[in-house]
Amino acid sequence: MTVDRDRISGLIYDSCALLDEERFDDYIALCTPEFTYRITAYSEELRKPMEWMFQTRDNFLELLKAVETHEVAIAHMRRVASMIRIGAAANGVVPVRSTVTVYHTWYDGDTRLFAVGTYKDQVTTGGGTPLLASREVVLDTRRLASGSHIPI
Amino acid sequence: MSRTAAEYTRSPQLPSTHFVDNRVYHDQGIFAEEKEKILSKTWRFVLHESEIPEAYDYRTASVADTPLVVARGKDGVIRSFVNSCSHRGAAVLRRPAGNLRAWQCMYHLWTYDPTTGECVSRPRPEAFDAVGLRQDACGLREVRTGLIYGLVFVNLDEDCMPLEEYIGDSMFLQREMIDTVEMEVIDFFELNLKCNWKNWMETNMDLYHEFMHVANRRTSLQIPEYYSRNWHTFPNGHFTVDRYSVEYDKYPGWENRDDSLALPGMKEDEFQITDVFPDLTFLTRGTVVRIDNQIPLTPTETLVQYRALGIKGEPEENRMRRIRDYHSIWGPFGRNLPEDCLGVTLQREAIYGGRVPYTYWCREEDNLSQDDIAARTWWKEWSRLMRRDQSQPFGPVLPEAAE
Repeated sequence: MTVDRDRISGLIYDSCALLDEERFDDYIALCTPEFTYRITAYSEELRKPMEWMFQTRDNFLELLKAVETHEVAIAHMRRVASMIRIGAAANGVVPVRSTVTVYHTWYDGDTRLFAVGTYKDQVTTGGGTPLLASREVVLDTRRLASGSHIPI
Repeated sequence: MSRTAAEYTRSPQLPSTHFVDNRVYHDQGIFAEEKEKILSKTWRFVLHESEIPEAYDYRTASVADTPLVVARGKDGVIRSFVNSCSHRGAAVLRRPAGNLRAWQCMYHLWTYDPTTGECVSRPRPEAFDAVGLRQDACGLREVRTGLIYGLVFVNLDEDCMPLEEYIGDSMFLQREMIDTVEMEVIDFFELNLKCNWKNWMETNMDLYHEFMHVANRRTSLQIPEYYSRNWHTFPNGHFTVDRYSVEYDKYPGWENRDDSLALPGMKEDEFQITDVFPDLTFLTRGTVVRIDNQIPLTPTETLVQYRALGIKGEPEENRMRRIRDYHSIWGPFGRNLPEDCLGVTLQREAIYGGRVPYTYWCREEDNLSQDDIAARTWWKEWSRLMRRDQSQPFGPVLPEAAE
């Protein structure tokens, strides 16, 4: 099967834009039913890896939908994926690595870098439509300026 | 009815213990004095002993602008030294953690013994000897270090009271869960918050603020037991509040916690808080302990460190569930921490310009959970050490602090 590199890149870009726009149903529609989502980081302090979030698809959607009930900053995030590297397909799954940079813009227009990291995705290509089977956000940034109800 | 400028700036008609002059949050002079009189004179938590389990393990830390390295020597004893080369001042240890049998400054290769802090070598030492600067006078400065319940504290004041006396009985509700079985740090992160360190500390002593948290509204604030708990206050500005049981399954996507993960002395759904003056908080939710401590950077910028404690050596599956319990609420992408960050951010925006004169700690409710007795206890100790009344910090100097 030929992997459509443009469509896979498009999937990564869409996943950023839909979270930015807080279109959570549309974001989840990019994911397989077995989708899992993780945020991880390596702790130089503890000298071991850490996991900061783990979600299954349905639970993730439930948490994302609950965001609107929370007290959140009047601000928005912009996720920028770049340096997308598409690996070799195996068993219908394509490993994809991208650099992700997240900016946080407050209501007054002040923009700050929120975090830098890597998306480590597993993308399925069966049926002609690439979908996220899993996403691990590996954060370089471990010292954040605030928390966020909406993940990366 | 709104207030006029005169009414607004007038000292509140309340006991002086019940309000704060907001200049204490942003005044440069107050901040400098806090570093001298509080942050350098009290026992400050720096790490859990599990972070340096082996001989020669070290962790760097910062207390009152003093760079420190906390290390377990070859004799197993934990000591702390100022992390600055005696020669030209460069930080000797550059990584936040590691294991080294000798500490060598990268700048001019002076080398130190991690157990004693002694300077053990200087390249071409003759020129130092020529002016009488002997190697044995070039050791690192050692700092008083104490260990209690697995928690490592330092005190920059060599004349300070013993750590055990300082802590007293304040951790009577916390001790069983952290000192019955061997614990270890299972997660660590930091937030660089644009707020005064006291504002963050206040979020951990002000249970009235929990109405802000949607998760708490659903899982806790509807429970009568939540409001009927008592605060207990202790000498030296510490306090703790009784436990209650949280109904986690009331929040979308959450389940009740697994009783097999309950920490010693806790039910899996119980929540309990202990605050140790000036900047240390233990928040325990049945299956996991959160420890907050602070590194004040400027009057309006604070580095807050967050640790999670779990049971050492437990099965990986249990460990991961404990970590997920922790992060679901208290992680940077959890449900509550972003709201706490927002609260102190909004305080900064409104207060630090200097035109909002006072804020209140005036709730009286028989020392029950949403009584402000905890904050008043904290501020009483602040005032004692600073010799300033927090309600009029530039008023008359208070009598010298009594022990």
